[in-house]
Amino acid sequence: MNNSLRTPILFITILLLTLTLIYIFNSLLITQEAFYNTFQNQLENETIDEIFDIEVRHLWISYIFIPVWLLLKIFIITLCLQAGLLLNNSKLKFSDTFRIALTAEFIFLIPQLIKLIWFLFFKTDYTLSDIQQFYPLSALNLFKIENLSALFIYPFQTFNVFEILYWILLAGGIKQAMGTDINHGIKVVFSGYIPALVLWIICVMFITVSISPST
Amino acid sequence: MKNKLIIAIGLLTFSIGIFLAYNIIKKYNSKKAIALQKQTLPNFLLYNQEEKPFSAKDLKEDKPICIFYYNAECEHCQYEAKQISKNINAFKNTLVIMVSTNTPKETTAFAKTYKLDAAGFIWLYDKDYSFYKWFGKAVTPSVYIYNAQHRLIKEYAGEVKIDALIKYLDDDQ
Repeated sequence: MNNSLRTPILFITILLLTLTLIYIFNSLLITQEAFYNTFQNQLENETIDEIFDIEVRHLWISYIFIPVWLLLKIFIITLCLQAGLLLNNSKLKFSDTFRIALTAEFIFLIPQLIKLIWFLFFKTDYTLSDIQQFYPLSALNLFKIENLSALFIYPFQTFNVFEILYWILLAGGIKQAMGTDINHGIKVVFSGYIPALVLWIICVMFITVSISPST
Repeated sequence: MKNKLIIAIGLLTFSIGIFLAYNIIKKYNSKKAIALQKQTLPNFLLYNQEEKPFSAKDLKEDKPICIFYYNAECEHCQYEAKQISKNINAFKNTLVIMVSTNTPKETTAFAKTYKLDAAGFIWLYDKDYSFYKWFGKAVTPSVYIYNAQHRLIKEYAGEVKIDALIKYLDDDQ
């Protein structure tokens, strides 16, 4: 298939899959019961019902932002990979790099699917925080969340098996597109994407420590 | 030219990272110290309605203490005030301290509106916006429940139903 045609098809596919997963997630997991489990120790039932109604009524807004967020994320990762290529004295067309980032992005659908299955069939009694904090096969699973500062949740979530597979997919994509070896791809990922990821995690930690009332 | 650009971007990224990391550590340590400090009633210094200094040392009685941090304009605080007023008997063995950044005039009006003016509560004015120094960043309403030994037994951020409060006032913890 023509490359210029492949990229939009790939983007539409990942977008539709993401939207479908989020729709199923919202419909089956973000239930009134989950709201009660989360807030019943602090709020009156009527207040919980009100919050749930507002949440349900406004859920559609999140669907509008998904394509924008997805596009922006892939665009920024493409820029990071371009920086990595530049640092390694290599050149690859922006559109090719974009397609590599887009293809690798599919890997992140797997943890979302696992998360859905986990809460749907295994941990059926959950709170909204449980959903927010769970990330399959991540460093977070090695700790008891109650003993962990809010500051460390995101970095530990981000360090997961799928993230490492994502690095490998990016490196493999670069190797294939440039006809070089995997080491070159890894060098590009480590000099372009990883520093940006570390900076992103630091930014999220900074926001968390600034706005979270607890540590 | 290309190398200079790479070095400049690299240095900028590194500097932003270091700056943020330094601030994260600073804020984290400060929050940790405050969290530890408020485990026993901190020696806060606020103002009474005559705008005279009022500190934790002025609390003579060894009673459980319930501190409400509120704002007269906030809807959730108004709801909280209504609930307290309706269940005022539940607080008879507790020293209730109402803290806000509202002026004494606004506080008087608030207390009157929710029929709390004759409840025997201590109304304090956070004139210098310094509540956070002793209790950390707090949303309105926030509630801190201390037992008779002035040890923190429960803390709520945001609106809280009255049963959830009373439960801790009754408990001899």
